[in-house]
Amino acid sequence: MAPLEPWEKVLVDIEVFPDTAHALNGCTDCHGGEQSTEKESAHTGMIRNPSEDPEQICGRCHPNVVVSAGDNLHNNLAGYWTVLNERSVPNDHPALEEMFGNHCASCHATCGECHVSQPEPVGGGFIDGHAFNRTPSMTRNCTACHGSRVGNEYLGKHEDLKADVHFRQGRMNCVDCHSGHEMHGAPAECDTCHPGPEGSEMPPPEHRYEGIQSPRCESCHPVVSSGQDEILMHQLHGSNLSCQVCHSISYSSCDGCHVAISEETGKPFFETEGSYLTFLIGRNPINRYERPYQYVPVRHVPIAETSFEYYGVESLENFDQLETWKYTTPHNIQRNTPQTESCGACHGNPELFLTADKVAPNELEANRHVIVESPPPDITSLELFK
Amino acid sequence: MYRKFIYILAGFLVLVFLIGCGQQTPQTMQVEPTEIHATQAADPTLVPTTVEIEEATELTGEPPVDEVVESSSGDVPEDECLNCHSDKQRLIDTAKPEEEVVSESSGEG
Repeated sequence: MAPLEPWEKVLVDIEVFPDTAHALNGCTDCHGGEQSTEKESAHTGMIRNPSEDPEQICGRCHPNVVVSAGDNLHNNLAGYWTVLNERSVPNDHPALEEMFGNHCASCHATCGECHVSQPEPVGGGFIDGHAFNRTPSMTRNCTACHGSRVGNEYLGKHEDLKADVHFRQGRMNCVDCHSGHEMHGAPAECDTCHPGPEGSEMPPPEHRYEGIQSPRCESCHPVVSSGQDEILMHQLHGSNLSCQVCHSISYSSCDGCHVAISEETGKPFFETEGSYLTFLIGRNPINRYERPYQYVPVRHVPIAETSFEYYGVESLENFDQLETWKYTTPHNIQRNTPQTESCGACHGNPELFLTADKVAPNELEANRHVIVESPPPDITSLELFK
Repeated sequence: MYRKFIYILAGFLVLVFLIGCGQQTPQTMQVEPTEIHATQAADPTLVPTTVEIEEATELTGEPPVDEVVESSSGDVPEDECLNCHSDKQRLIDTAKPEEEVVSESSGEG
């Protein structure tokens, strides 16, 4: 995505915008400022991004949408604090809050950063001359932020790795699976909030894999999960493997992210020690009613014990409380993968599994729930599979 | 004689009645165009047509109701924000130069 020129970012399409519903509001109704021919006075008190305050601005006409803004992970970034709190102790929180403000907080998305502009962290600027889009642009909104993993995998930007079949053959956009309800943090269906034995009410999600799967593959492929098709592996493994175990290919993992403020420029920056493509199957660290799988693909996240040492957190005291090889849902689904070639592709093949020898020594304790002690036995000698 | 008086009286009453009805007719019909206008005002997508206004004129005997046309088209006030932000050259001329940010970050974000 080429960066926009400064003037280009704020150029209103006069042929289109005045005829849209949002033009019924005067500019100053949402943006403040004053009607003036002089830039200086026109911009006095101007609000650059009105949807930073969704209830007051967007909520005037869209109260049913903004009501869940506070619980929306895109908006509140609660997922970050879920893991930071779990890996740290309260004494570290002031330092982590400073770190978060410098390095993480800018990544949240307001209403406008999905529906009218490119997100600020990638430079901002109107998508369609200030016309509001009900559906965000896949490349200028969604993968502008979710690019290095989701975008690159889904669009097939890694050399020798095919794009996701849903994009390659289905030409599906992000919103074809990820509904507006999901993006807005509001449950779309009753069973999103009432998935079963947990109770009649669910608190706001603390991370993206909390609660029932949404989206889920079975919504479009119901026969597969119930083992009612003719494929033997679906019948045998439909309930104990996540779909991605068989239908994903290699995806990105990262190691050793460290953050700091530049002495030269005073700006925040990060460094990651390594990024690499891998495909590894681990034990499911969030094996619950909604994700009852025994095995799932796992991806290494860039956290390190010393990630925040610049801020005085020499070592995260509870680093081992959470795995560093995380439950993942790679966006590079294929009908045929190396795993689907034969039973022997996985059974008796330690290369595909997260065994202890593949985990850094200082992370063995953190990943004890995920490490596969021994891969499933080789069954190719059994009569059934000859 | 008495019968003749009755006929004259009855004829007079009929005449009075007809005159009275003749005066009420325009007042009753006047309601109709008002109702049409109220509906149009409630629905901004409806634009009053010339035919409707002419019909109203005929029925009421009053001149065309100009305010109906005015309220649906309306004079849009000059918007200085849009004037500037739709003028590419003006934006180029007045844009604050952006500081080129060279990222010091390295590796996957």
